Amino acid sequence: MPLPLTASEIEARLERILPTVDKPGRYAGGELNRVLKPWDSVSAHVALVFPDIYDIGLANLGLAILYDILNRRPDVAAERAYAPWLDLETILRRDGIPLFSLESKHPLASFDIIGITLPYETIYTNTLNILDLAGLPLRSAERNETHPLVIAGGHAAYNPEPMSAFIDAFVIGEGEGVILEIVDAWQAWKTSAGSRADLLAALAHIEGVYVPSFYQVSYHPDGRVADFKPIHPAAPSTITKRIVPQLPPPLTRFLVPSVEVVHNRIAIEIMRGCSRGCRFCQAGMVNRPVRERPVEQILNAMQEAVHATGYEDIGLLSLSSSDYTQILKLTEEANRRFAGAHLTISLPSLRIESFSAELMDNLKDCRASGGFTLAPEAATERMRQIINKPLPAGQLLDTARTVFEHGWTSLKLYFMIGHPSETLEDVQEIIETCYQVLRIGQKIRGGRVKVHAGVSTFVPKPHTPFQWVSCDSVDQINAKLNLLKQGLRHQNLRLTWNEPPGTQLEAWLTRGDRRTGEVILRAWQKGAKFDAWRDQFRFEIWQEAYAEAGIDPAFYSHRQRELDEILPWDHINTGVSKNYLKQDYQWSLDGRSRPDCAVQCAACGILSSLGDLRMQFPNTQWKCP
Amino acid sequence: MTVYRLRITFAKTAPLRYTSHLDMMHVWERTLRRSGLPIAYSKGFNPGPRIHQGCSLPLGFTSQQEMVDIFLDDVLAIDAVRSALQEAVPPGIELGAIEEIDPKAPALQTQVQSSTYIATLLDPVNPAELKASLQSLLAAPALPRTWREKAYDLRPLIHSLTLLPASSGGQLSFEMHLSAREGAMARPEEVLSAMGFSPHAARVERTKILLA
Ligand code: SF4
Repeated sequence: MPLPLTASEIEARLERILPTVDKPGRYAGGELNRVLKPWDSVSAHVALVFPDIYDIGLANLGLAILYDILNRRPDVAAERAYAPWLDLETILRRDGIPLFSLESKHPLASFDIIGITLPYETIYTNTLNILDLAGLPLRSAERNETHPLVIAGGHAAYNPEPMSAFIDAFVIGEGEGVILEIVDAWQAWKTSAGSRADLLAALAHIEGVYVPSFYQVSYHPDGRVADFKPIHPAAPSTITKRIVPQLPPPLTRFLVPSVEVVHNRIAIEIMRGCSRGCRFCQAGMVNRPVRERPVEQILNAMQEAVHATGYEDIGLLSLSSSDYTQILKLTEEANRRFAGAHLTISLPSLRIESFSAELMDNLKDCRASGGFTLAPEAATERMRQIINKPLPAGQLLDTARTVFEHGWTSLKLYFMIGHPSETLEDVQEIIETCYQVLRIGQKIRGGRVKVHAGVSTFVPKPHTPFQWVSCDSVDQINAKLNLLKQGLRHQNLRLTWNEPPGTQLEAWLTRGDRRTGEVILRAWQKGAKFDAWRDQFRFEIWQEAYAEAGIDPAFYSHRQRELDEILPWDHINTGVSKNYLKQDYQWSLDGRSRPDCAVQCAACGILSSLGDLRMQFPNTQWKCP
Repeated sequence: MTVYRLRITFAKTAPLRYTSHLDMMHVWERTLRRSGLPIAYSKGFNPGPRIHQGCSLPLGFTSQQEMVDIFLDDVLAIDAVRSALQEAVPPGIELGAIEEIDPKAPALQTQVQSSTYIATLLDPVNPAELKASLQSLLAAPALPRTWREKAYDLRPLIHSLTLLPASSGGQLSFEMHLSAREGAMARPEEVLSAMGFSPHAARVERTKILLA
């Protein structure tokens, strides 16, 4: 076997290759605020990987935070790698060049730890592709002491089972606290010269780390899980997610790319978690409890970040920004402090009902040209009770009126179709609502008003009250989409929607089990990658892959589960109890909504799962009682 | 309001070699914002920092001499500007001279006359053959070529081509002095390809920009 290429050999090859590929700046590294440590000056090398191209991955806040935390440690170097675009991949494979990190151009295989983020399911085949481009065996079981440890986290990891054959250990929950513990464990293992199994055992002892090979699943003949149990003494029977009890000051030294990418901006999380409890929303369930950052801390971070990056755009992020208790103060102060600084401050995810005219006034000074977005998700009262996104009658129209009165001329409305028990009448109401909003806008701002309906399709997610339900059939979805397409034909209305095949793949994968891993592998072998890219996605590959594996994908997407069924992700504890989810699901069947838990605690389980942490940090700003 | 115009000469080195002319505009905007200098903004719906870039440098090239004009609302000592910028420039920009320019002087781009480049061939070439090839280009009465579907004559845009002594590593390089006037700009890749080389056969660095 030829010797693996060194970093300087890879760099020399790239010298000739990069000028021939599209957008070579993606692979150059060398951005402002990147950290490059001499390779031999540290004892642990971590490659952080976003399994899609640089343009999309660079702005990922989770990885950016881990990059910062790791690089603050003098004995650790964190570098980055992304999926190469198809043109470079072809050349790398042709010339036998392994995938490399952007900073030092070391091959990924020479790192000690590879940390992969899995933000959504349609990134799974890219993940396998990256392991393959790195020259690593894909299956965890086939890797040994000479290979890097491969870990993964991110939202899709809340159901780790589909990727469990390929990942050595998953981080469940927030990586900030746990990443250094993993590095410590790796360093201790390295000095002890232990086996791969020793390393995995050490990791399994860390709270929030899931080592899939230490568990065994058996299935009923029909495919349901019959039993799931630990088979290693180090393995806990459930893995409780990790959180940071108190949000640390936000990241301010963002990487500033030298080429334009998606979301070139400062991103500051003002609050983590959401108390609303929309039943379709996984993020709302898995990110509890709600923790806010103090206003002063946010303002200082904005200032520091502008100084460190020179960015002109600042996004103040959270799942529901207008629920941040100090939102008026924050926006007022921001306007005052940054007056005349030519900054664009945006506040995505505003709740329709917690949104005031005052807040609108504060936003006016820093409004983005992009228009305004509201997310009613459903258009009928009945439907909104079922999904638990209640909205007093008329509120949406009132808020829309305020938006137009404050000078905006375009409004985007997010809806979701395919909710449990949704009918064509419910969908028809989406059309009516769009026209009502348009008429209001035109009355106030005249003929140039535009209303944009962004319609996605509901996919039941693990760890939500809808984790048991079946998806709408493909025929139903098509009928609903056709209704919308016909009903929203108007020069001032725009409709965008998700194509059903992509949604379907997401539905197959998100509630998948360990057998799904074989399908992912097969799909990748048959050429699937960049599944999240509309122009690259090949649905027929996936259909074939499921067929060849002898698995009916509808088992995962179009099957109502019994409440007592063992779900493939039941061993993952997000803090919200299964009993709570069951009750909440029952309430949805009864058409009963649940109040915002910031108003009235619903005893979701967070306090019994994670309450101890709060004792240790008495100053935490949890919004739980 | 005072408008203070400064011409910054800088080297564009490896970390920015794949950053396009358009993206360099963003690089400068952000550099200025980081510097905390009192930058002048353009008027209009979407105001941005006022910056004039010099002539564009093809993707992949490095340069010993690039130029950009910036506009400030306040008059500051050049040294103060330099130290503010020094702190703020990203990897890939090395500051050179900074000088005051008459705010009413024409746009930088229109003042550029010509540029010199050094092309270093990546693969071994016979020096005698290379020399002959350079000479035959210079001796040609015309070099008809097309760029983006437009026919033009490359020859009058070439001022000189000179073979340089081989490097210690044995790589051969030559210098080109080419017209860079607006509308009469010769591209180093075009010279390479007129000589029968692929545009990727050489590493090219701009060495000088000559102004009117
Ligand atoms: S414990 Fe109560 S307040 Fe806290 S997240 Fe759960 S329901 Fe909401």
